[in-house]
Amino acid sequence: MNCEDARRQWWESDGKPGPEVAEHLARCPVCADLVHRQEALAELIRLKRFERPDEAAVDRVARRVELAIRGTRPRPVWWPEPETVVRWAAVAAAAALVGWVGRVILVRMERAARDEPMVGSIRAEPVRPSEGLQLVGDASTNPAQLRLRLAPGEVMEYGTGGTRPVRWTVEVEP
Amino acid sequence: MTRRGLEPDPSSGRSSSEFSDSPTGAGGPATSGDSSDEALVQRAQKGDTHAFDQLVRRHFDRIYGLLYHMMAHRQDAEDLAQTVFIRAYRSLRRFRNESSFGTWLYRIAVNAAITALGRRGRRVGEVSFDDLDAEVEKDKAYVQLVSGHTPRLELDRKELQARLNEALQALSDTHRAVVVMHDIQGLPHEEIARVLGVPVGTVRSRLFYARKQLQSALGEFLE
Repeated sequence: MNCEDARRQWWESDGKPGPEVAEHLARCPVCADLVHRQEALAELIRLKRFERPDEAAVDRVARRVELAIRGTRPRPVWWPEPETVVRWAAVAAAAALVGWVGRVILVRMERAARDEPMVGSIRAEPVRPSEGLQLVGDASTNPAQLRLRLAPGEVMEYGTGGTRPVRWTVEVEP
Repeated sequence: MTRRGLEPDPSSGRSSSEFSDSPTGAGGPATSGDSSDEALVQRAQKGDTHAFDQLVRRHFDRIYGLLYHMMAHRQDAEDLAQTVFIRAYRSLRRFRNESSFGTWLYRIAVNAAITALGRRGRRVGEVSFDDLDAEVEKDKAYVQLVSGHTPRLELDRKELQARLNEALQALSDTHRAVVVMHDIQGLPHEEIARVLGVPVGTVRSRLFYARKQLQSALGEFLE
């Protein structure tokens, strides 16, 4: 057995090495030293066992537990754990929040589309009776469409993305 | 003063502290009536709080010990032990004897400790430890430590305790949990894997990493 295998097997043996590992440790001072250090560390840590609660701790806790569970029965199997309830409540709250924010955004978009000053801000003025109308916008209209010229019979849809278009049809008296 | 340690038998080897599925329960001292964990659990599942009280007393030392070493605060450990037992009682009908009651309880305690530590964060300076029992002076490792091997350290019990705690608290919660269960409470790798719900290889690698850290923190005691 080589050193690598011996160390691995010693580690996996959880402190109870087989004869092969023991044999290797007996003839390999490097591995024996490593194992010795590990054991010394474990013994050192194990001293923590000597920190002890006072004698009355168990009675205190048992009494408090008894008071808390008195008159109650273990929950049915289907009853969710408090953590599960909290987790699901958090998920539900988050979903509700997302839904509410989404609805608010949609409502506002719809309202904006409805309220957009599409007609009121535009006036039409004749260019020449035979040529149709020239629409003149103001600051509240889409700057890209501030000035448009429509020929008789021409149809224009006014509106930008998401807004409701207004259909203008120019009819010119002969 | 009667000795009542965190572990069933600190002077014995680790094997004594493995969870047992034997009729006498999880290695704890027998109580009046000497009922098995299984029988007590069955009674408690039907609402027998007296049976559950026996389970609390039987497993208190282990659960308190785990929580105490995890939390590094005796009052927090005591409060959390209470929470763990109450939670265990309320969830008792879910316990199906697929593992020992001790393992199941341990799992609740480890999860509770890690959650509580996450909430608490690292409160520097807020540690509160139980006294190191005078019996430590009879322990072979302690005797070696303070006698021939390291006379220059002039180590006393308080100092040793402080150094050990400092080193343990420097570990991450998950690494400390493995060290507490394995090195202090004597659970074998496989049992720890069952408690934590991770592969045994993960337990070994966590232990290996934690030991490396502890070795560098406590190196002077190991020379």
